[in-house]
Amino acid sequence: MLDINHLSKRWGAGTLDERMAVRDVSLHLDTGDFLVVVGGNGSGKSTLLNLIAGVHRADGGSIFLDDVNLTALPEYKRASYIGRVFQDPLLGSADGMTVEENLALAVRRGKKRGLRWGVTAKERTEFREMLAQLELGLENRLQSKVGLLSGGQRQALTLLMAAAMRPKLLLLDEHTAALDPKTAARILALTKSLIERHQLTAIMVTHSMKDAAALGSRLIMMREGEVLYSAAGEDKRRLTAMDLLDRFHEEEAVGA
Amino acid sequence: MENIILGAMALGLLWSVTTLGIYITYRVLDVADLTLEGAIVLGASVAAVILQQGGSPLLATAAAMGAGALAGLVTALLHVALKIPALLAGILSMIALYSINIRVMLGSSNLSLLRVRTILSPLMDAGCSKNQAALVAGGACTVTVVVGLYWFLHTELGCALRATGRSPQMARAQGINTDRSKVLGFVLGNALVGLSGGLIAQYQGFADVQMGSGSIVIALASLIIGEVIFSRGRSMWLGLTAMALGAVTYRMIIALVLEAGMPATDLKLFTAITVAAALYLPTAKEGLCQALMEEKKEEKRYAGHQSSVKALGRRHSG
Repeated sequence: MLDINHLSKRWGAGTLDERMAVRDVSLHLDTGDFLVVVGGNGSGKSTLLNLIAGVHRADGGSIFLDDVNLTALPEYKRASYIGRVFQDPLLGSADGMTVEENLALAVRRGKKRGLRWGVTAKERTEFREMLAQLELGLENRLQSKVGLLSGGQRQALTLLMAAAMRPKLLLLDEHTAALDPKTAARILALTKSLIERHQLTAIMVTHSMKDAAALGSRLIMMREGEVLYSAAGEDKRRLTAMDLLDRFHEEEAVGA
Repeated sequence: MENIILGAMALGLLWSVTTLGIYITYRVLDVADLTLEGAIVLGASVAAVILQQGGSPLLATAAAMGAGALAGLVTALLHVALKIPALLAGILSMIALYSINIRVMLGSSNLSLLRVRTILSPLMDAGCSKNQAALVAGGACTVTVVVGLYWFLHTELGCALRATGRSPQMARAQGINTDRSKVLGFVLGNALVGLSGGLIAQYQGFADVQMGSGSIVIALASLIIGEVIFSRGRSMWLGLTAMALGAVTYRMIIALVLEAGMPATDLKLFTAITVAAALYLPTAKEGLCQALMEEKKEEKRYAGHQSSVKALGRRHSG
């Protein structure tokens, strides 16, 4: 499904600040895997996600999604296969556009855009059904500008835009970190249900050991651009937040 | 006086096409595109030279639009392909166009259209005054452009263009080629500016290499007046119509202050001050709102502090 081979990325090459953000990372995901990535600040977990999404080009290594070589593909072309949710709830949707227009943009990922209407009547009905499942009342606000929604509502909308089109891969970059605890829990529950319902393959970066323990079928912990520890199957299921925290501090101590 | 108002309205309608052009770059695409200063003259000089050579007014007007589009394409490529910041790319195009415009006008800096038939001539044959003819032609053009833009901005391509301006990161994540969207925006915006320049030249009866100087500020003034007075970011119909109304209002204000005795040489100073004031208006409003909110928050925080002190006290005693 997803095959990452010897991926590396360095910042500030040739300067005094040169730093390996991602160091020879190899990773394989099977269809339906839900990988959680944890690590401290600067551990390279977000860079890894951005390399997969195409925000940055890798310095070395390759990324394959099924048979498609993503390594040299520009970001907008990778969007045909990948759905994304960002940490900042304001980044995932265009604030001057309506809820339905944003959803319509997402539906057209990977399709040619021409002079047909940006939102069709048929889509409007579908969007209403999709939004009703969020239980946020957004199904009655199709024509509202997204800028008028709360952070939680916008993140839910972004999640829907990213996941409901059944991308081959869903990338979640600390997507609950900027939300209040109650909203974050709601968005996480929604994440879980969308992934299960559409049987998506997903990667979630998080700072929360609690979420990392509770969610996902696999886990990796990163430090200084390397994968230090990984767990899957029964091991992952048994992991608690405390285990992860202990291991995190252990690794930090080794690193220091 | 009536003639002055009629003239101001006519010129306003012709300029409203430029304002709609800058709406595309400044509002939809979110870049300040200075190509406008050169593109409006390019439109004027292309139209003038074609008319002088005996070309049809319709051809001249269409060519003015095409020339504007080309100018926009150059700026877009400087920005997208060579990665030059948009503001600088626009300035480069503007400067280059000064020389190009003189070349277009066959080496002269001014072309007169006094004894040439223009797009207004058929209306004037039918008995309209020049101002009336310009009102009809400008009005028709503005309505067409407003309807056209409303349609286009709601198509798939138009939605992609709007998303690119609002949030390029989100646009790319939704599979939009933001570079291509930007090119489209620059081309479309400057095509309208060129068209407007071509119409203005035919109304004024000349094209002059200096006529674009300060046009960016005039266009911005019209845009902001339109938004502040007429639209305030509600529906897109209103937003687009407000551009036209803003351009006409600006011309009216200028006509009135000139009539009241302000020297014409002070016009640019006056315009600059108007734009600065209008640009500051939303910030001032927000600042006022924020100050009020802060006051309320401060009160709440004080109340919250009191209760947490009490809670702490309870915990310690318990």
